[in-house]
Amino acid sequence: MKIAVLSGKGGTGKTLCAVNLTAVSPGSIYVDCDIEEPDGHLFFKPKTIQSEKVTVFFPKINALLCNGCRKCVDFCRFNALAMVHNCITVFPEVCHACGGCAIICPVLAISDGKLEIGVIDDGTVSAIRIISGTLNPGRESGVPIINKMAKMIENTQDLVFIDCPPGSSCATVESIRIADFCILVTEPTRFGAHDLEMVHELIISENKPCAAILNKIDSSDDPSETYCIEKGIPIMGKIPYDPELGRINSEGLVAAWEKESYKIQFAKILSRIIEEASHETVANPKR
Amino acid sequence: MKIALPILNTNNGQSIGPSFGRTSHFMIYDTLTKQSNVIENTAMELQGGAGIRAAQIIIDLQVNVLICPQCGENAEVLLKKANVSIYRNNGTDIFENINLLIQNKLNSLDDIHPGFHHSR
Amino acid sequence: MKQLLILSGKGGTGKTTVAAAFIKLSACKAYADCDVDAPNLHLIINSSVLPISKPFWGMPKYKIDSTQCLGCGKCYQVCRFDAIHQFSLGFVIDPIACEGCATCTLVCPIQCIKETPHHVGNLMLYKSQTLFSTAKLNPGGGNSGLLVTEVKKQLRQESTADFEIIDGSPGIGCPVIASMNNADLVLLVTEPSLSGLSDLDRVAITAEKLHIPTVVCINKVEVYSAIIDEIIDYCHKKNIPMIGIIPYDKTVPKNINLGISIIDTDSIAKKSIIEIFTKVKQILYETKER
Repeated sequence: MKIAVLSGKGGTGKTLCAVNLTAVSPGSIYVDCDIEEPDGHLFFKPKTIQSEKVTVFFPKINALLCNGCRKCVDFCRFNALAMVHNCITVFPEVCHACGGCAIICPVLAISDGKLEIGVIDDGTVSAIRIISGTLNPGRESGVPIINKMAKMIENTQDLVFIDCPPGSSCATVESIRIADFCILVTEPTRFGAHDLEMVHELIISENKPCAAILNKIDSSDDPSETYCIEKGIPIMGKIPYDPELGRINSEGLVAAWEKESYKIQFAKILSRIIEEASHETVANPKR
Repeated sequence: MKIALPILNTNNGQSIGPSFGRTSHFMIYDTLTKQSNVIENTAMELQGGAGIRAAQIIIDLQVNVLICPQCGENAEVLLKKANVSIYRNNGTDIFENINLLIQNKLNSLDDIHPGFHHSR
Repeated sequence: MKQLLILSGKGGTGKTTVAAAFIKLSACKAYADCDVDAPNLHLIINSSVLPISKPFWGMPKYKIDSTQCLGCGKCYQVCRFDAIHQFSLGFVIDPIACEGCATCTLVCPIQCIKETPHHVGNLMLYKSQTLFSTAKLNPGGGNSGLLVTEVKKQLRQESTADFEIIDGSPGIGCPVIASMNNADLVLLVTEPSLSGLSDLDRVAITAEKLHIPTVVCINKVEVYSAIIDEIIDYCHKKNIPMIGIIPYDKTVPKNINLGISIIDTDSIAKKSIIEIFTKVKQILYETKER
């Protein structure tokens, strides 16, 4: 079973939930797909077994073969190539690594170079496997890193938690591709409810079953809860607004490992999720 | 010497525009013929790499000097390779700035911003 | 004309709440929401008119004409984005994974792969006594500096106001730099946390490179903490005016949920916001026209 943990808005407690649900599931795998700000490892502090660099195609120009025809410059949809004095210049941050220039070059002057865009760390802590992807600063898209991590866990039978990037970008879509079930973490504000709607729409378009965890609950009305009820999103648990939980979390500690009451709280939410998700996947085996 | 400037069309006529890659037009002024020519910036509406494409346009027109308020890192790399000097404008009046340049009274644009780049 | 841009770096610091309060305080006639990934300003503004909406097109994507496809699989082999999938009748391109590179069109022996326009979202303009420009991206639609530029452009084209407020994008990437175009002053709304400070630094550096004056305020201050001193020290070192602290106020999100502006309440945050606004105006009119 692979469970993706998402949130529309930043700061709702997505990583808090993903980390603590994993922490109460020994033998599970935690995959951090929030590659721009991978914070999960700060909590788990895993012992890294191995680090793997992620590389993408990068056009390597052989200036001796180049005949200055400019076909590559004209073809590139991203304007990553330019020509000055019959010399090709490549702009790595703009290049999408499609390889089209190498195909269109009539004199085979462009070959496969490798450009490092980030790294995947694979480690363990307390019988939990932690896979964490990090995008190098300055790179715009980490989708190849997410795809590589997805391949690493594609065939596992273990319980997997995927900590997704916030929002509803392409990176979020790629992160939920291999998930069987999605968990939406919400906060009780109007902005939170609005951003929840955006990410919920994305989950619907990807045809994935989902449920919600309502975070930072206090006495007032919760527009996110209203949205969940209206849309029939099952609620797996409510986490009250709790300064102590906030403090433990801001210090980079795993709440479920620090205090028995938090352990029980997250274990309860987890068992509800497993029940709901098993029901969903049995009812709709094709999803 | 050929001079290029990003142009903004306003109600009060033309002035120097605020951006390089995403400007709608460039003026190309030739100090030998004293002729000016306004061309469309086809890079303006590109999703990404607008600065690179705009620089390529300027380079292909064999411009020697660019006067503008700001320019991205990638465009700068390319313009430097092509020996195009970049100067910061003083005020937004086009011909005043051309005169200032000829009198050597403009400062070179050494603060380059990291670029708009692209996003997916 | 003076344009104030409100940014935060980190998400969730209260940027939009401050922007909405400023719009109300100044009776601002022209404003925009450049947070096109998750626009929220329209939720507080509650405009009485319907927006004029126009589609925004992203990079075109590609589509295989399945009636012609020979099923040779050459496109499948060259696609580096795993966007081409085989099915019983040939091959099909997944429009979300497709990045629009067109490499597949180079190898198709019968040229049956065609460019198709890709609708990524809508530009919206609310036009009443005030002008409000915003945009909304479709889920999975890529954000871009171009869309932010368009949001600001449609405001600029119609506006005759002498004061404009722009609610910027979070982060420090391309949309943020695009939102800085034409701004006279950047107000950075940060929060007392380490990540708040580290993002503040990245945005401040970007604004500095573009020669846009910057001021900082700290939002959601619950108790005194060492990080507040760190932020103040940072601003001092960078010569960035730190113009105020907004106390954490539980009634703020509650009132927003009810659709009530902070300015119409007696909240403790209101007083600080008014003071900050006064300072912003003062600094804004000291800066010379760009």
